Amino acid sequence: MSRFYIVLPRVAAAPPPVALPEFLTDIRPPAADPYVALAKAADLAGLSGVVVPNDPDGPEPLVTAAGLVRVTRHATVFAEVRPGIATPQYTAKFSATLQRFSGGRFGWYVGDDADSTAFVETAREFWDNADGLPDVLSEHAFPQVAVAKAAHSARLEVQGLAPAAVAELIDEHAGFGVTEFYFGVGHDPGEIYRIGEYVLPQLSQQKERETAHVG
Amino acid sequence: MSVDIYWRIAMEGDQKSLYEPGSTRGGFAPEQSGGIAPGTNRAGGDGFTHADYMAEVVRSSEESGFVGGLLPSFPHTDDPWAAAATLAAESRSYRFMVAFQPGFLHPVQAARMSATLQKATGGRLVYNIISGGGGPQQLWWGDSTGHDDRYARTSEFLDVLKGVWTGDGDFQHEGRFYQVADGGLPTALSGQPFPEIFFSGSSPAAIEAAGRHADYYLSWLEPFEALAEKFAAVRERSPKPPKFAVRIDILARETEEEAWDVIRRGWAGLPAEDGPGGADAAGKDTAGSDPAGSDSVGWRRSQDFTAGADGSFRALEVAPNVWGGFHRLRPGPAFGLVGDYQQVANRLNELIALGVDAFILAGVPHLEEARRVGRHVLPLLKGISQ
Repeated sequence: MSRFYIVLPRVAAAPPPVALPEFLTDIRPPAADPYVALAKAADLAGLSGVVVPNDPDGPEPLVTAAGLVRVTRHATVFAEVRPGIATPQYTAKFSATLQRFSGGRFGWYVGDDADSTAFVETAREFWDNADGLPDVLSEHAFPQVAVAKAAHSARLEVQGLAPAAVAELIDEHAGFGVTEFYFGVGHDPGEIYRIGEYVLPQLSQQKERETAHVG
Repeated sequence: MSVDIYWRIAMEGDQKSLYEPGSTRGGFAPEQSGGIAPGTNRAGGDGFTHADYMAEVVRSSEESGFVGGLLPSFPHTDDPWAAAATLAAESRSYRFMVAFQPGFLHPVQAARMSATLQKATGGRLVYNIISGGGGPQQLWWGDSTGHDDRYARTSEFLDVLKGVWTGDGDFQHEGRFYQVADGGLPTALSGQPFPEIFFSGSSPAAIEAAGRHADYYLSWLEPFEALAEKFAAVRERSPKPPKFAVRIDILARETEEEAWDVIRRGWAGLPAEDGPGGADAAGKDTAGSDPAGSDSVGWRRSQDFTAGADGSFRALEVAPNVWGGFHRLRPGPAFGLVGDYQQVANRLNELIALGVDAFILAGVPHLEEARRVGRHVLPLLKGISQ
């Protein structure tokens, strides 16, 4: 089964709010945190998760992810974790809290380099070890770990693409054995809702047709 | 002069009352009959998690007149940074005082996390910097720095954090503990107020470090003369004396008898004490106090004040309404105030007269007691008339 995630856009890419015609009464409040609307869209559109990448020009991913865990109900929220930001033990403890708050929907997005791998291993050991995290904090599984550029994963830039074009891209990559799809999205939650509305159902219909052929 | 009154958010789960031990709230214990607002660790059941309970405490104390809440840090409880970030959107004016130990976070990361939280809350982040109870706990976090060195590191940590905060991509630092090249915050996060610093620590090394960085020097409640001496020592060693803050448990009721009756009932349910400091050694949860093996000077001080008490709870009332047995009834420090609303307010007024500029108050259970203290005690406080 394939899984679909969105990767939050960089802060630098944020467009100004849509301008309304002069004659319309415009009482829109100042833009709220743009990531909340995107994460909620992914959650409500039935996607598997939201990745908060480390954007050197933007907010810190762990803090952003903590806020997003609170406003979603199904999606797993992945924060990019880099070695050196904190001890692996402390990062594990921070993560245990988000696992508890979210019912196990917090994850780490990490690089595929040796330092990142070692960081994850130390943290995981601390999580599982009897002398590490206390049971009450580690009752949940260690955060789901998504490794950048892992086998069977692909990042697809879908911003501005029509649903049919997105579906085509997915099919093409699925043909190479990709099952984990990371969608690079823009700042418009509407595009994410359209993935849920048009793209995902189309994929499952295709699956049904294929199954029918075999039968 | 304006006094800031904070409340405390129970990170360790909450008790139903001081005389019914055991955390029955907020996802630290299985649901039990008679428990109030029990949570579930796995967010199953009714889905009410510890975050939901803390959010209720945040809203109750915000409505009751508290300027913010302390989110304390212990090895076995939820993380204050994660909790503050999760709860940021639950309140409008409430400040989140995040307790943390500099050793576990890199200062550049701390700067980014802080600036992100400042952005999310409109500048409502406050620091409670702790340099650690030390001992086995410290090693557990992946930190092997010794006691006095930890304060030197805390000092350097805050230097770097401030440097990065105001650095425009050109902050350089070559220190004993940290190296930073071209540090600074991105435009999207820069230009925000630097969080106020509440600094804890009772040892000379701590007081030395506090002098350089603290906006507030924070102490647990101690007998008032001892507290005054401590403040005097901090004043003497600081080039620029900080303000003073005290963390106090409050047990206030309509009448004095009612208040002491809560203690009496709690005391009656305790197992016999097996020697000085035995309550903690006997396996009671030690959140906020320091377990055996710790090198905390603050904890030793509180033990010295209550040593020699004859075992009856009233003997621990070392001065009117100042009671040193709270650690036996709930995890945390020993001293708090017990009495009727006016008595407790009078003691707080005396502390204000002694030079206290901020309080972190607490009561068990944190949810209901926030409303009680806000309704009945805070209105009785008087500032110093000029």
